[in-house]
Amino acid sequence: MDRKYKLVFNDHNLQESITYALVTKFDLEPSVLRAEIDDNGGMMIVRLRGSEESIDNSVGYLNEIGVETVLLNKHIYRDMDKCIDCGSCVSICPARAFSIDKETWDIDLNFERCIACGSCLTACPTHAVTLTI
Amino acid sequence: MAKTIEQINEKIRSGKAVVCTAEEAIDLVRSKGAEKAAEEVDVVTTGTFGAMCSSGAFLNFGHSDPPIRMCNIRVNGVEAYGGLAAVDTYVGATAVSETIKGYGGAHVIEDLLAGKRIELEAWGPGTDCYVRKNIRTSFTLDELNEAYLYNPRNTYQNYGIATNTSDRTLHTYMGKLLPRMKNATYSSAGQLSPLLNDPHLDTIGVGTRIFLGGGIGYVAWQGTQFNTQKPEKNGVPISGSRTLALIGDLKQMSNKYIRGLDIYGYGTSMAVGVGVPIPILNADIMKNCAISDEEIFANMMDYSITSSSRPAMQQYSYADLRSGSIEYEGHTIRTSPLSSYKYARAIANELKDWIEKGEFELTVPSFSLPKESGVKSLEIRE
Repeated sequence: MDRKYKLVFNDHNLQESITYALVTKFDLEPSVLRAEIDDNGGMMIVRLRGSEESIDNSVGYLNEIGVETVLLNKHIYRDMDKCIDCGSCVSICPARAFSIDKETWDIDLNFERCIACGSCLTACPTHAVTLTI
Repeated sequence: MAKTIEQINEKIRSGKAVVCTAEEAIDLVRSKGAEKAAEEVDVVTTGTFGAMCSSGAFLNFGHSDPPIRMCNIRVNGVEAYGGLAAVDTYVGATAVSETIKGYGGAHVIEDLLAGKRIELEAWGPGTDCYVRKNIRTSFTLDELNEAYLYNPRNTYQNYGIATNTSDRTLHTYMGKLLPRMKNATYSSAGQLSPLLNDPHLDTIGVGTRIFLGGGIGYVAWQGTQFNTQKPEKNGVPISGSRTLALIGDLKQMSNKYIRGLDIYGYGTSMAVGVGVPIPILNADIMKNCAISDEEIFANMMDYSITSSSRPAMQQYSYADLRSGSIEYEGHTIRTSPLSSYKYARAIANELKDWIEKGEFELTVPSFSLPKESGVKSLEIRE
């Protein structure tokens, strides 16, 4: 299974080799979707692929070493009353979470693909998208 | 066989008019030919729903007691024009609030349509006939005497495609343009767009009755920067050319088809829903209405060039643009529309419905828009 997490580091744990541990200790396939880390800590959006048990165990390990974990599930909110299906969000999304239905010209949002980068927030002219994490 | 607008109106009144949208016209003309299609079809409806910055509304507040001659006016904190008669004003779509970020004149108009109460604050000089010097109150759309949209430039006939070759993200009126040509944006509704279906304005003129913001409006005049001199391909211009000035009663409109926009890094604008009916008077007019996205082209321009005259990089058809990506010198560029094709289609269908139900008759224009008109630039003089 796949799950996406936001991992928050502080200056005490940012030196930990987290992805190495995820691979060797938990037999997971981590994929770093986004990372913003400096001397003071930072955050990483990571997709973990593996068994449910391994993912749960790895989250336990991360929390033990002080890394905060936030499960990402529908982490952007799209207000359909505000959305006008213009399509401004489509080509600026690095994860290709937005797509156009060529029959109806509805703009579809695939939450599975979203990496919570926030690029669409400044692209949307009606403020229809908000980040919920 | 030629028809007249009066003959079409008689069919509309008797509920027998045959109406199709500009999308439906494509297949109809392909399968039957323009001659046969023109005999069958009476009206083709078009639609567009996108950002049209040159828009706004005239409002009349009515007089207070004692009265004031308003010179300096704020509606929900947005400056409205104070250079008209005592209690008349014009709220421009792109005027921005001094206090609320991302809120402007277009949002005031949308809020009026939503039935919301708007804060009014105004100051005047205080004269013998208008003694009051300031006023603070609130109003709703119903409480205004008149409220009408008057948009000096709407429904651009085609428009350019925007990309960005520089190393930084640009925030433009053409949306967010990622560095190194990662994306490109376009704004026309293409095959559904009003002026691309009547490219030389054979039927559209001053007084043409239209769908405007969910209500009935009219073509008031040629739009600003009206240009007939742009090069054409397949009978339609390949860049922004003709435009329309539109007028309509705000009290009939809906906040579904008039929306305030906040274009990040640029400012506010207004999404305006417009649908223009095209009377099928002859086969040539029918043929024009059958133009498809494959046949309409636009030039891509680099918005990192800050000069107002940007060279064209390459031409693409709307079919290319709508496919989701285009190729430029071996580089794949993802594309985004900026106007809603879904709403454009909904507008064309709604107008079609009005005509079929006999609720909307066509008008004979009072006079034609210019056949020859260019655009001047502003010289910087010492």
